[in-house]
Amino acid sequence: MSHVADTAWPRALPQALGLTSLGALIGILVLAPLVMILTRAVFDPNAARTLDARSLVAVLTGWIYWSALASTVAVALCSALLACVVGTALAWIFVRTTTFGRTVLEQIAQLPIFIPPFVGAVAWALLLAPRVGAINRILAALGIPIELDLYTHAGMAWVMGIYLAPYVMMIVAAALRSIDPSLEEAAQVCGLTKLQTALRVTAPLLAPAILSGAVLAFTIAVGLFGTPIVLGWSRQILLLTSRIWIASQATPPDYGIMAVLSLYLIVLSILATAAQRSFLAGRSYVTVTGKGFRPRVIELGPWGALTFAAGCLYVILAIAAPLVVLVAAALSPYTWAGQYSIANLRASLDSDDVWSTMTTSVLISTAAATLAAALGLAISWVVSRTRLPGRQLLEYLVLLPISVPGIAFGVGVMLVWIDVPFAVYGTASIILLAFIGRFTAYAVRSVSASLVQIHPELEESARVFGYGPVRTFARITFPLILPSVLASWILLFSFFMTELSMVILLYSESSRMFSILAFEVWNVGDFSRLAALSLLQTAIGLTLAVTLKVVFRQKAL
Amino acid sequence: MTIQVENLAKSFGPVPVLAAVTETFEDGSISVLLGASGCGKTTMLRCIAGLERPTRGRIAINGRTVFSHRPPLFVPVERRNVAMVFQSYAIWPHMTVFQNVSLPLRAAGVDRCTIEQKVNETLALVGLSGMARRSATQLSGGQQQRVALARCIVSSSPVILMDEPLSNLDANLRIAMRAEIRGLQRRLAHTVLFVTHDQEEAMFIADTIYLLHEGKVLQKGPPKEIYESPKTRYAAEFLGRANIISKFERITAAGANTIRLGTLTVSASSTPEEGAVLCVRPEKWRATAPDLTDVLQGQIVETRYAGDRIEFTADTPVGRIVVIEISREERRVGDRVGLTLDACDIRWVV
Repeated sequence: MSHVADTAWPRALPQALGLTSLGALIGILVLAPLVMILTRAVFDPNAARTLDARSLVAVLTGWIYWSALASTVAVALCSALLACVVGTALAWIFVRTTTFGRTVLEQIAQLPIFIPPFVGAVAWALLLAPRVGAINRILAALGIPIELDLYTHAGMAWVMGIYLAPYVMMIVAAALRSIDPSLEEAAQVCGLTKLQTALRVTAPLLAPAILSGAVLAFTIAVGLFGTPIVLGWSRQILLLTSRIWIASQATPPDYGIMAVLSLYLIVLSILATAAQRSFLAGRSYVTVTGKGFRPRVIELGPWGALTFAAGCLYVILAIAAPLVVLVAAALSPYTWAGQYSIANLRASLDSDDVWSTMTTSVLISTAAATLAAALGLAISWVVSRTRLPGRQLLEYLVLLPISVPGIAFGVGVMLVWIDVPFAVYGTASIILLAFIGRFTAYAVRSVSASLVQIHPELEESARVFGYGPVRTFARITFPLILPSVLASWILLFSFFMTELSMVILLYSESSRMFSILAFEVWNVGDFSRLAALSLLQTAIGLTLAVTLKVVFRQKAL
Repeated sequence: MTIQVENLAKSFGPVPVLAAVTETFEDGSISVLLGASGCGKTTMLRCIAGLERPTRGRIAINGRTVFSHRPPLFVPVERRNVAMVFQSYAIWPHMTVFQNVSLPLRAAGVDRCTIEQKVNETLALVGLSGMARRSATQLSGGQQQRVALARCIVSSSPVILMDEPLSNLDANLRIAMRAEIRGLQRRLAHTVLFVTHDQEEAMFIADTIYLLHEGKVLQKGPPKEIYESPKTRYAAEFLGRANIISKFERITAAGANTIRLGTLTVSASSTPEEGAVLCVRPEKWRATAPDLTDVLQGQIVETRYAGDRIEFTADTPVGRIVVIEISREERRVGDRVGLTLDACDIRWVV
């Protein structure tokens, strides 16, 4: 006995039309870019329908591309590992111990997700660049003969790892909260010590969560653009994403190479997901339910100081130190001038360039967030409230880009619109299309989750008492899911305001966004102005994050 | 306001849930659809409401056809003018009690003054006066139930459909609400179609019980009739408890039928259908001393003390028999008893 209202047939025609147009929209926004990457990698666009392996051969025989692939895999693996260790440790400290201030620390430790990767890299460059980095200068001033060097593979893995740790932390913390404590109590009743319980019961139950955190971190790391370009450029440590950007800078841009490299990124994230699947095959832990439990908390006693310190250390490394160094740099007329003045910050921000790019960013982000939230709402509703055939496929397609790195998706969008006879490429609308195609998935996930929470009888009863389908949606369904729609709007808006990896390929003079301005300033090496712009981006990201947390009490992802 | 269904059939994919049901639910009375889960009772209710589309058949409410398969007609739920109490109560959490109860009137475009007056009257009727401004999420289960009832009453729809409305309440409140629903129905003379799986609730509240099994109405009638004269073994066992006896001898001699159960002989008035077995309710047996003649000899294998009654199970030559007694006589496992009963308490079931 299904509880979903059988509304399919009386209005079959409009519904079918609606589904078809949603399908067409998703086809253009999501499917076309992915298909274009595949075709462009092996077909010559000019000689129609002939196989053209030139780009493929160039990539497969080019030493620089093998090196980029190896560097990408190495850096992504190391950063995922670091993120796992840090994230799992933090999750355990915040959920399972009596560490002082753990609730607040846990909230703060989620914030790095809202610091743009580019900004994190800039801040860490200011801290740890060879010779000129703040920490290296302090070490030198203290006479300690150690020089830390961030412009290496290890440096990249370090910065990526600490900024990816919150993703792992959130997944593992949720898993820790959903493990029934009686499973562990049963183990202890059976005579296992605390350590044995942790190793034989808790760890295996957590393994799937840690693994999915690792896979998520790896997938994000593979697709990051801002961090590797900032940290790798001076020594030409170039990852796949950097190579894609370089290929896009050629005149004419080398679309074939870009497509093949994008394919690499997609294959890497597919491999990671496949590895996760094969590991989890046959390990369905039904005991880990969606239900929340009060977790078993460990009284730490004197060890509490240590876990508190560990939590604080993470916050210092990921947020406080970067912010301090950015503020210091922004207040100086040039890097480490030794004079600090608010006038410098004001001068950096008070320019037409800042204003016009900021206006563009706000306009594009507002439009894209609104359209993506609306599309996400429509798809979620169709999937959970109708019985239309094909709705699952629709949902599958719209969720697909989550595992496609942004820069690869950007290449796909570029390839779709580059040869059409009307102007999309070179206008702001191509950025809109890319944002919506890549990020509607997040709105769908958030809105679907809240639609599932709404008992269908709430809608059915409104229908029984005389509301038609439209009024039922407007007066019952929509008000009930409004918080999740708004929350996903804010989340998307904050993504879009600082997005760099797609915009860098798609922007034009008329659609220069703020992240592009910051990138250009980095390119010319004006670190003081760069710090000011980075601070502004961080401020926007953190403000929105705090709004999400305080107003909507929503998790970041 | 009668509700008629004709050859009503519904299947979910290949699974048939309702198999060509034809019934008329009488005006101004409480008809209870009773059955185990999966018997099709909720589906029937939802088809009548318009929340499911039947596969075949016809539905008419007060003579107005709201669904027919041929010619195709489907009146959408909001134009069927029915009211409904849902299992979850379906109280809108983002609205106050007043807003919840007034929604049917707002949907119908009633003016504000009338709404105010009618809602307050109705809230008083269900015992919620003074609660109008309360947020719906602050209500207890019983109060939510009353809001759900108020919403039905205020809609002035003469037909109220109730889908297991009491199953989420705790035991005492459930019994109180049964009486309240029945009282309100008697006063306001609604036509109520009530779905439940609880046979005791069905017997208490129903004017007519429709016992559903595998998508068909197995038997219908007033509660007493269904309990006293079940036609099938399923009906006998679903409604109350029954001793089904298949080890008996039927003796026809000189125009008089008798049935022999072990050493007990009872006269049988009617001639049973082919393959029919005997059904005796546990409280119809009388326990006597074991060494009498013309009693069914048995030995007690289990006793249960239930406060207001004693139940015991006895091994007899015709199988295990469950007996319910109100007497205070103490029964012990191992005791031998004689069992006897009146001829009129024997039923043939198939």
